[in-house]
Amino acid sequence: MGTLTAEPPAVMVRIAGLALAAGYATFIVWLYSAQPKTVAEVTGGISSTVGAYQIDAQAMSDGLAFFRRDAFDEARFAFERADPAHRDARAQFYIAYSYYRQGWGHIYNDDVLFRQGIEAVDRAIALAPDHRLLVDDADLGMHSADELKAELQRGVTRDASDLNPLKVFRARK
Amino acid sequence: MSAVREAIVLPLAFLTVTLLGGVRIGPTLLLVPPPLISLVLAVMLLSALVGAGVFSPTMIMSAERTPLENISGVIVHITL
Repeated sequence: MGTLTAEPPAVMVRIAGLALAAGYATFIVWLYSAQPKTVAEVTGGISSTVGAYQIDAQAMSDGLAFFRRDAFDEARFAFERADPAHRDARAQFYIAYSYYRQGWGHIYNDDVLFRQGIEAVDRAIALAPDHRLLVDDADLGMHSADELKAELQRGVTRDASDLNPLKVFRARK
Repeated sequence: MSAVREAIVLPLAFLTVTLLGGVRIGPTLLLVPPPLISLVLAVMLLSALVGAGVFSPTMIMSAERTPLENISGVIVHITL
């Protein structure tokens, strides 16, 4: 007696299995290397790999407006909405800069905020083409990720220059 | 062994074990690559399975099979 359902051609099944296994294995390798922390990072990472990731322009614009008014917590919320997968170098740069400006002080800096800024600027550098990021913004005192990272690292480093009383007169960048 | 089981079910099942084997659930979800010793133990386990007759490599890779069938067999071996 014949079967009611025909088995799909074995060749097609094997080719499909090969493609599925290769794709699944690639996905697993990417997961282990990228270590995404949220579902947004997973989907954003996959879409950025195929060049389909785009940030939310309105949220980015909101973030910049908050940033320029020194509303840094609000700015970071907006930047997070704009770039939930942490895949945009410019957004991460501004997040790092917001930590710098919020943590900067005439007498001492907020080490916690500065360290979070270092994490964000490291992400920005890793995402930038050739790990080189320049931001053309007249409102900023530092225009490259390298400058920002160096300033943040100086802020968390303890050395004899911290005792210089003239540091009180330095300006926030 | 049917083509579906050999080419799709087994590789995806083994790869899923690979994925979930590195999951560490704590304050955050981490994916930890396996240490080198686990690879050594995996080779020893595979040798024991083959020696005990539980797993026969010639069932899925042999000269009597077509090249595409042997490629499926290689995928099963690699994912295992």
